[in-house]
Amino acid sequence: MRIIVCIKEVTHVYAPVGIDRQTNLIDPEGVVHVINPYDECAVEEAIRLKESVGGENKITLVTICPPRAESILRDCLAMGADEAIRIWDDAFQDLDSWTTSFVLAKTIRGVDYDLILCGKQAIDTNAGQVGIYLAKLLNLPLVSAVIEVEHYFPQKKVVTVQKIIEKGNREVVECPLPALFTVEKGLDEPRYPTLPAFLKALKKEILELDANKLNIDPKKIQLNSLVRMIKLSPPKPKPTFTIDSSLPASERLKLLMSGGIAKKNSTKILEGKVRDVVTQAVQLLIRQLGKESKQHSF
Amino acid sequence: MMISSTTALIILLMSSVVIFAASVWRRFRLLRLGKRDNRCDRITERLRSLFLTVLGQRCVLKSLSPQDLSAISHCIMFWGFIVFVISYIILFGRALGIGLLSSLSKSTTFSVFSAFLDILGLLIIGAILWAAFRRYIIRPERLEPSLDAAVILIFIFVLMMTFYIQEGAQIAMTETGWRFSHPIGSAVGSLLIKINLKGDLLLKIATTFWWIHTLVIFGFLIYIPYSKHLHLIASPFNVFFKSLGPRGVLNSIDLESVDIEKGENFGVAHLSEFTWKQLLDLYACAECGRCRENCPATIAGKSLNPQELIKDLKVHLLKSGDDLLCKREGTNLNINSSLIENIVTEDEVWACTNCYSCQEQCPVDIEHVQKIVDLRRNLVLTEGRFPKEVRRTFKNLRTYGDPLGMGRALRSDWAQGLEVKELSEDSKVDILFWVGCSGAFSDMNRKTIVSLTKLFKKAGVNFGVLGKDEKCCGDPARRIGNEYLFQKLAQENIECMKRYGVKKIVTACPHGFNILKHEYPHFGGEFEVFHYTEYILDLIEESRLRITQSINERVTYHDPCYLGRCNGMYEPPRKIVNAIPGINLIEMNRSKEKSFCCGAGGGRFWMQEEMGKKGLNELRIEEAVKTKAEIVITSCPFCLTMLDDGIKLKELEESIKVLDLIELVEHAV
Repeated sequence: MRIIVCIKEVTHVYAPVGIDRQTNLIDPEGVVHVINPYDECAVEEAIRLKESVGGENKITLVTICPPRAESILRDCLAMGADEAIRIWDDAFQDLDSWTTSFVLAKTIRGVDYDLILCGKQAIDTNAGQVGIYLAKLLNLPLVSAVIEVEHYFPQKKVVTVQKIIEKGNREVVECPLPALFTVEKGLDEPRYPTLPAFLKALKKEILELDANKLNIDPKKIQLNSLVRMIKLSPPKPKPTFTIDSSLPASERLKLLMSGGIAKKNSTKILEGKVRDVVTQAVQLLIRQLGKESKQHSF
Repeated sequence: MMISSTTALIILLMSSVVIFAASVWRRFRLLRLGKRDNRCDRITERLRSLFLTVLGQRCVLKSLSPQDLSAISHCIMFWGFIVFVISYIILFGRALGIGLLSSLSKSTTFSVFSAFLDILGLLIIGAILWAAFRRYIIRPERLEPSLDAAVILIFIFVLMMTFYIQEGAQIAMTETGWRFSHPIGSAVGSLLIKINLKGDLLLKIATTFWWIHTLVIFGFLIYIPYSKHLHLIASPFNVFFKSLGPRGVLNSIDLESVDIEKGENFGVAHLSEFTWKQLLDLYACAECGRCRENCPATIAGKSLNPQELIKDLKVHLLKSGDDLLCKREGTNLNINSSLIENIVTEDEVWACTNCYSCQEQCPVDIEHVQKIVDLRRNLVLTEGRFPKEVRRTFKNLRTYGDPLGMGRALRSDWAQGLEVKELSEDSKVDILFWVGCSGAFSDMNRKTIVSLTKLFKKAGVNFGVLGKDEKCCGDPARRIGNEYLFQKLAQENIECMKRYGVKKIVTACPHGFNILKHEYPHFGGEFEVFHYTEYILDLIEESRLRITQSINERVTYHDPCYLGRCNGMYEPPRKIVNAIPGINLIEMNRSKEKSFCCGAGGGRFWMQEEMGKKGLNELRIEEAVKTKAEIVITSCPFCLTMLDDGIKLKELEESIKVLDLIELVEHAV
């Protein structure tokens, strides 16, 4: 089975990126480039499929990114992908979902494939459109939010996949190949490459393509964009109440499962009229504060 | 007397020596399965330690305590063994009619010697009886009432009894019935006369018991290599060839030299990937149980049992060694001899906290931790198998340079408003203060480094930090087995520090201290490294810091493994504590060399507790509570966090709290 996985490098992650405290802009030093986690899951799914399906298999990675993305491509090669294509041209700086899928489609048309996997969405733009547009451009059936490719029937050229629907329910869908699936994060985390695989991946050649090679007019591509960003507004900070993060994870789990995160400090439900409840609450707070200030001094 | 049986004796002697030599030779050949490791440097130092540890019996005497007196009986048996071996050489020489030895056996010096031998025998019988009583009746935790031990005890007991009876019968046959050279033998002789044994019968007794005695010696000789008493032969070598460097240092893999195309492994997956010295360790084990008795993982009921680990590997080596030898010669390549799954479980490997308690207690200098890390290295680097939660730690280390995944941008946030010099602004400082990831990111540990910063300023120390340029020292990666990640981090840090011309470093964390001081030099990072306890103690002793306030508290001190056991720094922190007036320092049951790991070491901090098992931190807090101390002091950010967790788990927030030593000092200054 020949699988293509489209991956994207993102500059935003769960860790707070550095904010320059003077300018309130992102500190370029604090930026990290990582693979979009959904795409990483897609790579993982592709590798699992390759491992479970016998015969000739090949996983090809495709990304649109400047040379620095080589490192994430090599990580994915180390995980178990076979070859990688990196597409870049200065004209590809600010592609929207539509133009991105246009470039991807141009590239993929030149490659043999049975299946294309994309991450469900990228965590930087949260658009989740590239996979869908790509399926349209290549005229392929599309299944979204796939978490597992269950079976592959080579004679019929059909696969069954599990996809997530609401409330954690799963749907099993049958789909003829070639097809395009967008991948949702599964239960298992993507694998950590072994060192031998990593060292081997460092030596692999990455195919590089640009607008010229793809027969794309760099001047026109930007004009094809359907949407563009006009404003960016940061979220308002919202206080959240969480379990004491210094507890070990197992304890945090226990607390969660025991039904209340406040149990540690003996939960008390105040009842009665609003006025009484407020008075009680204030008294409680005063007591608590007194206790805490005592704890902090010697 | 035995002239007629000389031939029989020679045949027996020769055959038992041949059998013994053959089995020792086989074991020696198996050692050569291991990889090269040069252990022949610093010969005088090695001889000295051999002399003290083996002949001086420091091996067991170091663990002598009122609760554990076994060292005394071991000494009696060991020295007795040596003396008896000498006498056997002389006696067999006489029996075989070797000129020099038989003339020696007639000298006066020899009669004094044999009188000594006679009395020593009695001591040995005493030691044997007591050892048997201890092992089979009292049954201390660490000893197993095994058949192996019983065989040896019976052997020695029979040896001593037949020695006396044979001697007594011979003396009874003489006219006087008393010999100066055999006080106990004479006593047995007179006893034999009293029960009316005469002439022929006495001769028969003497002959029979002489033969029993001799046969037991030969049996003993043959049995040794097959039993835990192989340690008689192997442990002196093991002590001689032990690692002489500081304890908490792991060896490095030369990542470039591993040929992956040839299918070579990183770390250890098969016995033959251990070094010969690591294999010798297996032979040296006497199954004394000291490691097991002191292993925090074993005590907490985790899968790891260091003694079993060594024993399992030894059994495996002896069982499959021949196959492995064949395999090396290329004849039999289909053996599945992977250690993980077959011999050692993954849980066992991951349960270790690298606290070095086993090695500290081991009388014969077995090096458990390196083996465990070697197994981990294979799992991580070659197999990509490790506890799931560690994946995130690795990714964080790689992407952000810290295990928490906070990112370099936030690394110097702790210093806001403190006016701490960063080396990127001004690299002319006397001291580089190595903050460490936990210090920089964890709220609890930030207090420690803020206190330390204030103290440095108070003492007028010209210091600076690397700020955003600092990266994880690599300790979690290395101890978990990700040598590649560690080496990358180490190289980046070393490069950075060299760029600023760093010479002296003070660290806030014992893990960073250990790794910077002992492991960075291997990668070209030669710096003078101190842990803050040493440095602050100096400042106090030089009166650059004056302790003015008294603190009236009952405290106890928890020794971090990488400060105490690995670097021998038991005293500096205690001196600091005792320099504060009013403070009452009470030691926990297990302290200093026997300190009980908090559970964070060896990368365990980044792993989940085994399902349903008690955390080491809980056990440690239980111990701390017993001292009735109100504050547990420690000097390691990981210990601090773990112990604080322990207090929370046990819901003891009201009665006990944990503080870093430096916070205490800040309060007292």
